Amino acid sequence: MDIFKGVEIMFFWLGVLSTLAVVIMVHLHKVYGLNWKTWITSGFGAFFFVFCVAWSVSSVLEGEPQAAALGLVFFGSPAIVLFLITRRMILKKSNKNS
Amino acid sequence: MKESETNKQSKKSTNAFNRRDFIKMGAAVTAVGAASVAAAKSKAIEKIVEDNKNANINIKSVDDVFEFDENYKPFNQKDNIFMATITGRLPELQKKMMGFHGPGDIDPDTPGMGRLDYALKEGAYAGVEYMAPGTPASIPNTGVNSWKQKTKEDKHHPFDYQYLFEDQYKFENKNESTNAIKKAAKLYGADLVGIARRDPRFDYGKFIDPLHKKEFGWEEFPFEPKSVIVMAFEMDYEAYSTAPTYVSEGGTGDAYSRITKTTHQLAVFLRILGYKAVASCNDTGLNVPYAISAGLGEGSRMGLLITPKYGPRIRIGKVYTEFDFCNYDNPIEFGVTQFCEKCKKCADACPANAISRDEKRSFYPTHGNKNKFFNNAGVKKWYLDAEKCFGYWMQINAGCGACISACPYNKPDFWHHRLVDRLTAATPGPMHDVMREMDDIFGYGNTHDGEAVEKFWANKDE
Repeated sequence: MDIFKGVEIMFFWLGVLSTLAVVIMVHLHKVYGLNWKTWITSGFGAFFFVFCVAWSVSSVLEGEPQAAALGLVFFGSPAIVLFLITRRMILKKSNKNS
Repeated sequence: MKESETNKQSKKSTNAFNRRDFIKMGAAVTAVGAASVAAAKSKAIEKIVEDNKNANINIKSVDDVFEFDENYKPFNQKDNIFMATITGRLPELQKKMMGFHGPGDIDPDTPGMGRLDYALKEGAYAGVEYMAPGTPASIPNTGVNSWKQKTKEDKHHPFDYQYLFEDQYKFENKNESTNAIKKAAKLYGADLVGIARRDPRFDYGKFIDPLHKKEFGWEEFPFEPKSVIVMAFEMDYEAYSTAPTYVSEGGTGDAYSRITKTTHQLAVFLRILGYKAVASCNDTGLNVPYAISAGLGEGSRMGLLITPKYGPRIRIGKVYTEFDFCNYDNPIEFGVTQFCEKCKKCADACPANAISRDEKRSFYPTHGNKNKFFNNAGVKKWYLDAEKCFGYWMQINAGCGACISACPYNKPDFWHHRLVDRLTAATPGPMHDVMREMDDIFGYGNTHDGEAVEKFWANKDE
């Protein structure tokens, strides 16, 4: 299985993560009825999250741990912020509805 | 009962996404993901870069990228820093050169300069020193880089068929011949290949062979070359992360050994097709302008070639040939000059302070040794103080390479670096300052890094 390791496995898991992100967003839409703003924040959040994983894993694979750590900070932080904004928007909407 | 069924049906119809839709969507996304994996594996990015069809890579003509002063003359090989030192025109350097590259300065207490590291370096150079001694120091017509075109009468033994065929193989068209040459070069070991027109401005004007103490000119060359097939060879990233040490020089020596093997094989390939050819490493002509002319990359502040794929972490070899029925490559530009104007990371990293800090390129050198013969003045570029640079080599008894290691374009071949390269090329000057700072923050481009030596030897190559 030497041909399927490192960056290939990373891209496989990125595919799984992307699929999960889409499924979760669709599920949230089904349950809470997301508006366009929430779609955008959650979409960008998912993008930053997947990019953060891709960058950091790639940096570890190339043997640059500092770049991996900084990748988590630079691309992971916006993902967390965007997810928190999405959560806040969803809760606000559901509180209004209830 | 009837009412509850109706409710269920209405619930189903009002659900925008039911379980089946989820499965369908999941399958679609998985298919897209699988296609992405396949795309990544298919080296699509590599191909885009190599085909020079990327939006950020502009294709230019030779006259667009080289600006010569009216006083420019072809550089004489005896004026380059290696030959000037060997022949005693720079006596201080010559004195220091005695024992250079030898085991005398092995230092077990300095990371990367111990016996193991020294053995690595010498093993790496073994190929070139056996096949074409002296060619890294620019000595022409040596070993397998001999200018002699071996004929049937010169066969070494009955099964030696590697001579110049009398009849010439005819290709149907230029695409076929170009593809065949590049295919052969890659098979033999070249990482990048381009074909340039022979340009006397890029050739050495006169030659010197210090081993045999003779000077000679192009009249001794066995044919009128029309094309130069230029090849770039990657040097190991981990080895170069240790620069300047014997380990990083191992990366250099190994590239020279591969160059000698590959260029010799390609020269034999052309001779068997009936076309005269001479393999060349650092001899006969200037590698960087030929590589620029062949579309392999751009010139840089440190004077080395920057390629889109490997940055400056390459060595260059070439084959002169009379064959000219081919498609010539054109120089490319992908923003290196503009980036170098701002970056100066190589100049900061240079332990000899030999790299120019001028913002713009100039036709004449501006450094302390600007009036010395080794400058090859009259072409627009950043001028390196070769005496300072080579003096540092003598001081540490090894080739340096700190500038290569420090350069932000020196990265392993990973997708995220190609992405950053493209963003750099697409963004204006002020962003280049940010990119340079980010390169530092992310921990790239360290030099004199003892830990890198430990990492080099510790990492398992499985």
